[in-house]
Amino acid sequence: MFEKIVKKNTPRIHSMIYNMTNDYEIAKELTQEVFMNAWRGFGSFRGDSSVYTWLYRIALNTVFKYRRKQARENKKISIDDIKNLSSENNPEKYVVEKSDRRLIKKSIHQLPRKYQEVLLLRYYEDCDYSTIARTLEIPIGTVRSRLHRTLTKLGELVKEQT
Amino acid sequence: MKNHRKFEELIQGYIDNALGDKELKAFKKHLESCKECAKKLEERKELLGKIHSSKEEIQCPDNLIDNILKNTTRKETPEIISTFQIRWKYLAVSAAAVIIVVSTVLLNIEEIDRVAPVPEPKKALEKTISEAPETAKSEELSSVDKKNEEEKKETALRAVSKEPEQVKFVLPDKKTDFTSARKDKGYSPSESTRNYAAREKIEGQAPSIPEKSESRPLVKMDMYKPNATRAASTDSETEEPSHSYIEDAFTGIIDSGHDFEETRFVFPEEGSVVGNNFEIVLILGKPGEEIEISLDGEKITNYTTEENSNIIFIGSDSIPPLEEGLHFLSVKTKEEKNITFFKEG
Repeated sequence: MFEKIVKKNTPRIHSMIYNMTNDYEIAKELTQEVFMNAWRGFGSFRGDSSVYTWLYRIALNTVFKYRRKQARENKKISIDDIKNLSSENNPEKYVVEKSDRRLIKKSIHQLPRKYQEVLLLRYYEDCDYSTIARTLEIPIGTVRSRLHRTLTKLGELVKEQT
Repeated sequence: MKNHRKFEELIQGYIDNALGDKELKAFKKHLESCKECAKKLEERKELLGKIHSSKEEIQCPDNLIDNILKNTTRKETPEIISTFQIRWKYLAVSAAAVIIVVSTVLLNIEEIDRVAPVPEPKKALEKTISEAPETAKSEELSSVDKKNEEEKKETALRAVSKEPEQVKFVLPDKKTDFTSARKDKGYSPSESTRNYAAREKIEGQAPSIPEKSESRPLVKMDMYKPNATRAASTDSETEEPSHSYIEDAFTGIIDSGHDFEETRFVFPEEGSVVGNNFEIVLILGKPGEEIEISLDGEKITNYTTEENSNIIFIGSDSIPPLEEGLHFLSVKTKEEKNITFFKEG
């Protein structure tokens, strides 16, 4: 059962984490952490939420925990780091240098966590409102209003950058 | 235009097809007459296009799934889930166990003091008893006398089997090194005792379980339960002081992000903590407070909460590797008021 979950969801979770971290190796490491955490909690997973929702939640927490740890160690990935992402940890075939992409990612990273979460789930993971609501444990109405605020804020940030 | 802002907020719902019939109708009607909203709608669509294009599709590393499975389902020695939950739940039982351990240590040390005197009276008594029948035989005692002798012998044996009254119990000096005393006796010290010994060394006090008092309120450190209200785990025994105090303390594999109004805690397993990958969260009575944190009597760090936050996270990276046993985490506020609670590793 768990093996099936791993096989089915690893690429998706890895991709999600990569898009949040922009680092291939870190994404790999954190994906392993997500599934190890999921494995430990698998016994108590009651199926109240879907497997995706459950894994998203663990993944979001794992990534933000990693970021917080980085921040604590004063090694926070700065905006410049994101801007200057080299292909060192990113095999060339995965890196498509596009200024728009960098700009958007840079701006997304500047958003508060709650905005990033809702945005990633909606537009990177293509989750519908109810899935987002379940994952983030917020009412559906909040999903809509938060998305509006997120995109308004993101639009402002993008304008500032350009 | 008076409800313009409201319609602006509907743009996202419109794009995501998430408006109700009434809202959709009203929005469409508004859009026909509002150039500003029409412009914003276009801008929003453009932004969403950029967001979609910023998502990178990458190939999953070949060995990632195998690595995950090796560390989970295919792991030869399954990772043992920490019994933190159980231990925290049964904090009282643990405390009782500590009392027993401490008592055992005390008795062991008492035993060291009485090792020498004990065999002497026992031997003397045994000698007396073994000689008694011989004496009786030589004097050809009557059967009644023999019976009396048997009773005396039994009484003497009973006396030996009990703790001899003449043995003086010497309580250990307060500065006795419990660990080495136990080692001398061939005992391997348990972690909990070792920690108590360490604490005793530092504080120069005999080990004891910290009791609730005005100066050292016992803060119950409980597991955070996702569905439980925070108030439920707040220590009701703690008096409400005017200075900073710990309002709540819990631990788990957590992440709060940076938005405290939406702090959420998610455990891989509800109420459990695995290995050393955990954090301790302290919620102070007021923000912007500096506290000093010590573990088993040794200062591990200073923390200062942000001006608008009263939460302190002590990450597992700040906590030395913990072994099985009872640990002692002390939190000292600026006013040097200790708040003590137990943490079991």
